[in-house]
Amino acid sequence: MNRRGVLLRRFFSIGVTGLLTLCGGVLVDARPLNSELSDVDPLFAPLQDRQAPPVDARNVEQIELGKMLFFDTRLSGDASISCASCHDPEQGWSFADELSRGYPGTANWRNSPTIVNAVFLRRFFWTGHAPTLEAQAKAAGMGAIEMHGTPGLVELRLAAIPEYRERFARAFGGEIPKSDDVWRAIAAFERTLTQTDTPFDRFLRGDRTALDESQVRGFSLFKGKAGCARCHHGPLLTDEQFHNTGVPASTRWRTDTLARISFNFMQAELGEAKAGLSDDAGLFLFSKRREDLGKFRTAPLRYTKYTAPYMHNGSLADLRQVVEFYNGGGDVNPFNDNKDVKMSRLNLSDSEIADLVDFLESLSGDEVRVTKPRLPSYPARPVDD
Amino acid sequence: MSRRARQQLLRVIAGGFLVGLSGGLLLVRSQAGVPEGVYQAVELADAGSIVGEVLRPSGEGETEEFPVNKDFAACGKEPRHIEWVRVKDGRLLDAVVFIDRIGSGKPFSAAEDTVALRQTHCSFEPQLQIVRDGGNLELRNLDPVMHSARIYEVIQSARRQILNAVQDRDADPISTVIGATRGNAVKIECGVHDFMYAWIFVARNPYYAVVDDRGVFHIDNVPAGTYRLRAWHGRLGYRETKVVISAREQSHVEFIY
Ligand code: HEC
Ligand code: HEC
Repeated sequence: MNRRGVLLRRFFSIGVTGLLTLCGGVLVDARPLNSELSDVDPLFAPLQDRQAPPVDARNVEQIELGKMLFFDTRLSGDASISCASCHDPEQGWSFADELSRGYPGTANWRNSPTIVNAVFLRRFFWTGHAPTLEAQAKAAGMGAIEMHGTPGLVELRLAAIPEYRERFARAFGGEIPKSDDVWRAIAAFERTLTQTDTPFDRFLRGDRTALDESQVRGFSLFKGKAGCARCHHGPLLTDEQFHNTGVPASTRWRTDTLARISFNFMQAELGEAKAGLSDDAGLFLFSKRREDLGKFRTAPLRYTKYTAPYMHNGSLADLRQVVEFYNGGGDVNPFNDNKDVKMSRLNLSDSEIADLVDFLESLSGDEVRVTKPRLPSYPARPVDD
Repeated sequence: MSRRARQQLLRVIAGGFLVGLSGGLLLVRSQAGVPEGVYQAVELADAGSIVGEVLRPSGEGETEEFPVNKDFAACGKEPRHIEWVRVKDGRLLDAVVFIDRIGSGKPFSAAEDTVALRQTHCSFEPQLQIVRDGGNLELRNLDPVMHSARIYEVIQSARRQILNAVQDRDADPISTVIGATRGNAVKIECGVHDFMYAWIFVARNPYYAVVDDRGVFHIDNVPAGTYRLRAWHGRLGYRETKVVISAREQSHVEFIY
């Protein structure tokens, strides 16, 4: 696809997403923050596992197949990297470096977010540019600095393996594996990766002992003095809107040649090669509106205990650094003129900072672990087509 | 300057600091921006030692199987069985035991200044080694296929990238400085073969020992005193205990994983 095509497609996804947002406005209560929040808080709700249990045998097959594909490196161009390489169950289903690893020979340009609870999001990526999990998986599978896969080649690799042929047939019907079904299966698997039983959920469901005293104080600060809930609310603790909070520029553009190349590459891909932007301009790259410079999606705060470092460029190492960042009214980035007016100094004391960190840790629950699937090898000799 | 000459010079400089350490030199070092608390080598009169074992009472190892999907000539066709945790007769192998904070004592040996890591038969060799904080790693690819070493400092649940470099067959060795900002763990992975890995333990002082094939360790020449003794295993993390060292005596310690 030529550049205009790419851009059109991206604009298109944003359009669709916008529409979805309009229709789906029931999920997140966006009423302004009331300083006198009562005990039963309309801004917060436990995360309900709306995920219906697998509906039929076919769905079970899709999930199982999706799990295998999620871990299978043969989806990538040189068969070296799988979804799990950058969304590693042992690294919080994310990648623990500031910037994600990339396709061999490249670096990635953004931090890899967790996919636990991703099913509940209305749009995907730090700049919300994928409207469905299927579209997201496809973008990752084909992206030059992610998996660099080619659909036709992936189909033939999978078709060469009898077990995959059988599994695709059972899950989707048809003679040979189709790449669109690859993304469908992976999305079906991702929909099973949820964590809805955290201390915070138990607290909201009425178990007042689920949070300790420091966490309860942290929750009050979160809603009140610290103002976090102005952007982080709803069951996922995000308004799913975009803000420039003054996250500092990644130091990697200066210290890591491969990261710099990927940064330049993504700007070129998004039509901004000549704009001279010195840092990731966020939503602007997709919307092309100046008021979106430096804006990123309010990050969901669930499962963050396992996903350090934080922010779209991983520039904050741990939750304490995050709270200190907000305590200072955010930091400075090249798009500071556009910084959200809600960002101001909080004057939190040391013990208030500690309480807030303790509260953030109540949002994660136990780690989501799966047994890794056994992946079939290629047969010793080619099978007949 | 050739690499060897440079290394020798480094060694001489390092040796100068360690053995002849004068106050003046120290001053120069800290002025040059070397962080406080740099380890110093001193004469030891009354030293003791530590022996012990690292136990794994459950006997539980951990293995993972990876299919080999390409590069068969170099990597073989058989699936790889990676032994993340090796246990023998209730003893944990591949663990390092070390004194966490000690300001001065016996000198480092030159062996810790530069270590070599080879990529061969689609494995990193050796799989565990020790390098002095700020020491050098020399990476070679002996395989007829491309590898892509990605080296990270592991900081609790986060990582910090040290190197990300592809290396072809017969390419020049890659040399990189290995340092740890927090903790002691460095993990190396191959971006092209997901079953390849190695660990480096970054030593801030020479008081460490890798357990032998019976899970036994021995650390000698320790100045009398009370220390924080830690064990580290790449997969299983840290354990910690206190140890009291008396002159010319041997203290016994057990770690349990
Ligand atoms: C090379 C690393 C890499 C690989 C491989 C990779 N991802 Fe990602 N993933 C990322 C990064 C980085 C982001 C964030 C990118 C952005 O926002 O611009 C991301 C974002 C996502 C998100 C969005 C989560 C959110 O909160 O919006 C999902 C879902 C996801 N990836 C799933 C997948 C799936 C499924 C695959 C395999 C088909 C995959 N990823 C492969 C690095 C990777
Ligand atoms: C103005 C809206 C806004 C306010 C107020 C706000 N946040 Fe955020 N938060 C965001 C946005 C936007 C991001 C993502 C920023 C980025 O990556 O550039 C974010 C990211 C985070 C992250 C990182 C999550 C991750 O996965 O990387 C944490 C943790 C966090 N916020 C906690 C807080 C806390 C605690 C407060 C209150 C002290 C707070 N936020 C106040 C908008 C806000």
